[in-house]
Amino acid sequence: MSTETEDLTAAYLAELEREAARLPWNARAELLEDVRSHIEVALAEMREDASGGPEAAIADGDEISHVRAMLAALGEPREIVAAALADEAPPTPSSGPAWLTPPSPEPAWPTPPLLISTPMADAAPEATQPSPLGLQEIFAIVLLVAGGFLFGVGWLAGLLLLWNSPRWSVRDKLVGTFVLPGGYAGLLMIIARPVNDQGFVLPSWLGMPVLFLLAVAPLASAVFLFLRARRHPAGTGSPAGKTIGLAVLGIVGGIAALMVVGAVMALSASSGSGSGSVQPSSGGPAPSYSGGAGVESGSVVPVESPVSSDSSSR
Amino acid sequence: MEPGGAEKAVSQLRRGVLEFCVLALLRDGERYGVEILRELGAVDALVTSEGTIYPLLSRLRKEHLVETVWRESPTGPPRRYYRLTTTGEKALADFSTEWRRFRDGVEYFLSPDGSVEE
Repeated sequence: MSTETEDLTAAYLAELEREAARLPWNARAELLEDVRSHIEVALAEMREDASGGPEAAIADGDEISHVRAMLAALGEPREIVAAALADEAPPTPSSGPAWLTPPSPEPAWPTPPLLISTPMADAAPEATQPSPLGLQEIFAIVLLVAGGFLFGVGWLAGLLLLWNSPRWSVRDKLVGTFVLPGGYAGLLMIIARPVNDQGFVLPSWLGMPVLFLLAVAPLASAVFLFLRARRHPAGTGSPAGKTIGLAVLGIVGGIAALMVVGAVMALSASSGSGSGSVQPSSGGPAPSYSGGAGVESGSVVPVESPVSSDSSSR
Repeated sequence: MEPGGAEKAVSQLRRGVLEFCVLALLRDGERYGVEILRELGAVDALVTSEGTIYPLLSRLRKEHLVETVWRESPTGPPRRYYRLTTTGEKALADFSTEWRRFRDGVEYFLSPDGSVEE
């Protein structure tokens, strides 16, 4: 194989790979494998046809014009990926072929029944139908909620997936990042250090609601992200190239947020060190905190399970 | 854009029927990707970019209308063969019936003397 042929096909595949970043990873992998295999097979057959036998040499110039024609017939990588995106969200879960699906009982506009469920016609109602989450989104949500327990690294990985996914808007991503930084691990870091010093004490009537809010926040944020991603079918979000800068921004923001949590923790630890804050249970108005923290380590895991099982079942 | 959007209408129609043309191609036995694309590309006006057939094939596989198998080739790289499942055969048969009715209906109105007889 001439190096120019290799260069041409490699450039084509590289561009396809770039464009395919908009696809969910499994669709991307399959498309890339299909097209790569297509090129290999087509090249092999081209050589056989040209010379009547495998591995016989053909003139370089001839080969290159053939390769160009073959790649041109395949089409622009952008077009191929666009077609893949249109096919990504299957119109209905019904087992029959799409065009056989009866028209929905309450069509918002009159449509000839035969044409209603061609792939093209599905593009419109698709936006209102919930679409299943990709693996990336599922991992992002689970890691954001519980990844903090993996030495904090898991949460950062979740953050990376969150900001890299085209299925969330910037606003969704900000919510995912700041409610709460670190997920349940972050929450645990805050409440495992009860602020029992007189300097910084919440009245117990306020402490309980705040604790409750904090405990619910990561879960609510996960449910929110789950619903937003479902409403946002693959590939309709912000273009992939633009999100890279945003991803960096989000991750820097997330690390900053973690540091704020850490600082609050350190502050409360140092101010409480005089009265022995290492002990989780110490009297005063704080027992609601310490009690909460005591059982928290046991109750954290069950709390998140509905989300992870829910999202992974999609 | 041309008046009336004839091009758009045909393009929508094409997208709807293309998958059944692919199924019909497999009616007589399994074929691999390059073969399928070559056949489709040989017919004018059916496919603009051959590469868009791969996402289509992938969807047909997910919908269990076709199944695939990789086979070694004596002369070249392995090839991924596609063949119809029984569901695919049924879908193709159903579509063939519907398509004839549809085609006759459209023809009825498009032919010059069509709308005269009421």
